[in-house]
Formats: sequence, structure tokens, C-alpha cells
Amino acid sequence: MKILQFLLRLFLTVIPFTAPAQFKSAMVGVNGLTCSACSKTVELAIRKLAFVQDVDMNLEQTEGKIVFRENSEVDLEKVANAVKDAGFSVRYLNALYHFQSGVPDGNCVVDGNKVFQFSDKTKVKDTGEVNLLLLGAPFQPRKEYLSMKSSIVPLCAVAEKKLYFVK
Amino acid sequence: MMKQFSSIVVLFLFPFFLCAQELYIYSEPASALPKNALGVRLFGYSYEELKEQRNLGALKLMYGITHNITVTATGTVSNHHDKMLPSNLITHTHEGTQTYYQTNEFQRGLNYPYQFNGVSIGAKYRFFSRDAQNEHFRMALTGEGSYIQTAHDEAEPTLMDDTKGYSIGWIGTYLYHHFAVSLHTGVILPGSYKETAPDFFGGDLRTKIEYGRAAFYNLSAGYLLFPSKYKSYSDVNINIYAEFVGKSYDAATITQNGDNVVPQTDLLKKGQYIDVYPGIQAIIQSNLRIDASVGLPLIGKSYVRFYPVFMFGIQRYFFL
Repeated sequence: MKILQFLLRLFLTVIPFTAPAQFKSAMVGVNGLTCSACSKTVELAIRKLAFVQDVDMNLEQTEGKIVFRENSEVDLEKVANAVKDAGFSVRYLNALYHFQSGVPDGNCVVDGNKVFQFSDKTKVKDTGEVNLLLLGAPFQPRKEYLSMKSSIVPLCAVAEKKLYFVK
Repeated sequence: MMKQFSSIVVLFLFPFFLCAQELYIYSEPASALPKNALGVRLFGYSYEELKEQRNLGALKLMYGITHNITVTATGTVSNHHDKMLPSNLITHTHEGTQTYYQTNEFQRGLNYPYQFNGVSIGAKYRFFSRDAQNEHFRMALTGEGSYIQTAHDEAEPTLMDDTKGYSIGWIGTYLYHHFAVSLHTGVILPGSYKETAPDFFGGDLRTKIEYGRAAFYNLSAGYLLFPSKYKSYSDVNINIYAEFVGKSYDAATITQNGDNVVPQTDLLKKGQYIDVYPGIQAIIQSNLRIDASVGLPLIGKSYVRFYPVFMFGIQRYFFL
């Protein structure tokens, strides 16, 4: 019995529980909204995405908090497209990402099947949750995107891994 | 099972809306329906023509093909016209060996049967959007093809209602917080109405009316009156509107058995007018839109209707 307890303690010490690498939640700012009906349009469009667990829209701030389902493959471009398909546009998209085994290499971090290219020095060490402001065409107002388009060039691309430009 | 039930709830019980202040009663805003959204609108208008009540009822289906392309189909029923043109519409006089044809004064207030007028197909393409927080400016192009066959005996073309033909237009809509203003302008290229009736001697009396080409200009303003601050989706929205509906049109060209007929009455001559439609709208449970407005003459008047014109509508959207 003591041996069993020892083995269990060893297991819990050596192999700690780790949250899988994934997007946990996101805040999306929506431009063009002026009423609850518009807000509801956006909310319903985002809720239709299979990886979305919950959406809470704040009409006064014209933004929404999105909670993603655990262990689901989150595609932030689909969130941006849902806003667009509802008839509006993304002002910003800020996502909370849990790095499980982020490997920093300059401004690039590879984690699982994703690659994050930071616009400035990476905040990522190896694990933990980091707030990422998404950059690029679907995640920024067009004018803002065009003003920094030249700086959004893929330097960290890895074959078969999804590349996100972040800040 | 639960997931399927949730989907059904999301699909059918929680429709969505565009921005409320730009859901004009008479006109269309530049905004398009969301992608894969279906809108169903029942609407109509009514006015008293002397002692006769004239009514039009319509069912309009709208669908968002993409986030910036909406297509519509509208079917209408009305008692605006008889099944054939009035038999005394055209008269003639003789001068020597010459015969001159002209239109008679119209009889008004006659009882006509309800009939299915036809179908009107429309499309809207939103080609420009400049969105900001609580604000947007959008522009769209519109097109409409109206496959209507009624014995319309006035120069003014009214697509979807009385007249066959096409229209192309442009919409610009600016929305800022609780206020939205929109201009929809364009041209109507009407078709013609033809009929063959027996003449006095048992022959054919072939009459053709080509309606006047028209320019239309609708300026609409809307204001969200209630609530001033949203608490939940169940808040009832009350919007008020003022819509200015204007049109300029050419005279009708009428021929009978190939002879030109001179339009003697104002109804068939060129004209122009601007009406005003003040209206009110309630949106219940962010779900059901109910609206009503009344049309009054502001500058000139339309000869295709009598005033006041009472408009009403009920509309709902669904996600597919």
C-alpha cells in the first residue's frame, strides 16, 4: 500500500497536470454596431461556431467576450468572418492563449500546431497564459491594417502550422 | 439531442436584426442582410379613393447570399385596377378627314376585384462600408425587375405594385448612435401594358401604354427613441421615422391600333411630387418588427393613390 502511495506521489510530482495549449477566450471589438439588435446578430453568428461555448456582448462598449470550448480547435479567422458575415467589422481581437510548450526563437514562438509571430519581443517564456492582440487583415480595421501592412510579413512560417501575427 | 434542440432554438426562435434606426418602413438602407439570413415581411398599404377602399397586400422574402449581397422576391395582391383598361379610356374627334385620338377623364372610386399583380425580384449589393464604433457609412447598388401585369392607367410607374419594368439605384446610409439617415435614388425603366379588346364593330382594339421613365429619390431619417440605454435583448425598441418619397416621371405614350393617343388628363402626363411618410416602429424581443406610417403629399401629388396612405408591416428574420 505504501509503495502504491509512493508511486502516486511520484506520478503527481514528476508529471504535473498541464492545461493543453489552446485559446481559452477572446474579446472582440465590433465596429458599426449601434443597437441591441445588431449586437444580437453578431452574437448569434459567433455562437454558431462549433468551438464557441459562450458569448457575452456588451452593447455600450460594442464588444463581446467569447469563451471557447476546452480541447477544441479554435480558429480565430472564423470568429472574424462571423462578425463580417453578420454585416459588421472587427475593431480588435484580443485572445487569451495558454502556451504549453512555447519555444521562443526571436520574435517567433512555436506551440503545438500554431506559430505566433510577435510584432516586438515575445512575452512568452515556455508555458502559461498570455494575452495576444491579433494583427492582420481580418482582425483589424482596414485603415489600421493598411498602415502597418508592410510590417506584417511572414517570417516565422512553419509548414502545416497555423501562423498568427500578434502583439 | 440537446445540441439539435439548441440549434433549432438558435435557428428559429432567436432571429436577428440590422441596426434598428435604419430599418426604414418605406425605403431600404444600404446595409445588407447577414449571410444565410432569411427575412419574411408582410406589408401593405391602404387608402380611400372616393367611397372605395383601395388595398395592397404583399409578401416579401429576403435572403442574404453573402454579407454584402441580398436578394428579394415580392408578390402583391391589390384591388387598384380592373382586369382590363376602362372601355372609355380613349376617345376620338374628327376634323375633316383626320381623326384625333385622346384620353377621356378617368372615373374614380369604381369597385375593382382583388387580383394577383405578379412578382418583383430585387437585389442589393453593398459595395462600400466604413465602420467605426457606434457608427457606419455604407453604400449599395440596387436593382429590381418587376413582372407585373395590371391594367395600370397612369403615367407614373410603380414597380412591384402596378407596373412591369426595371429599376437601378444607389443607396447611401449614415448611422451614428441613435440616428440614421439614408438616401435611395435611381431610375425606373418601365415596360408597357398591352391588351386587345373587342371594338364596337367586332374587330380588335389593340391598346398599348408605355409608362413614363422616372427618377426616384427617397430621403429617410430614423431615430431610436427607446430605450436610451440597452439593458437586455428583451427591451422593446421604439423607432420613429420621417421618409420623404419623391419621383419625377415622363408622360405615358399611348397607342391604339397603331394610332398615337394624346394624353389629355394629368394622370397620363409627366409629373413630379414629394410625399412625406412619418412612421413609428416597435421591435419586440429583438425579434418581431411591427411598423406603421402614413403618407401625405408635401410637394405636388401622386396620381396613383389618394391621400392619406396608411402603410403597415410586420417582419421577422431567421438564421438558416
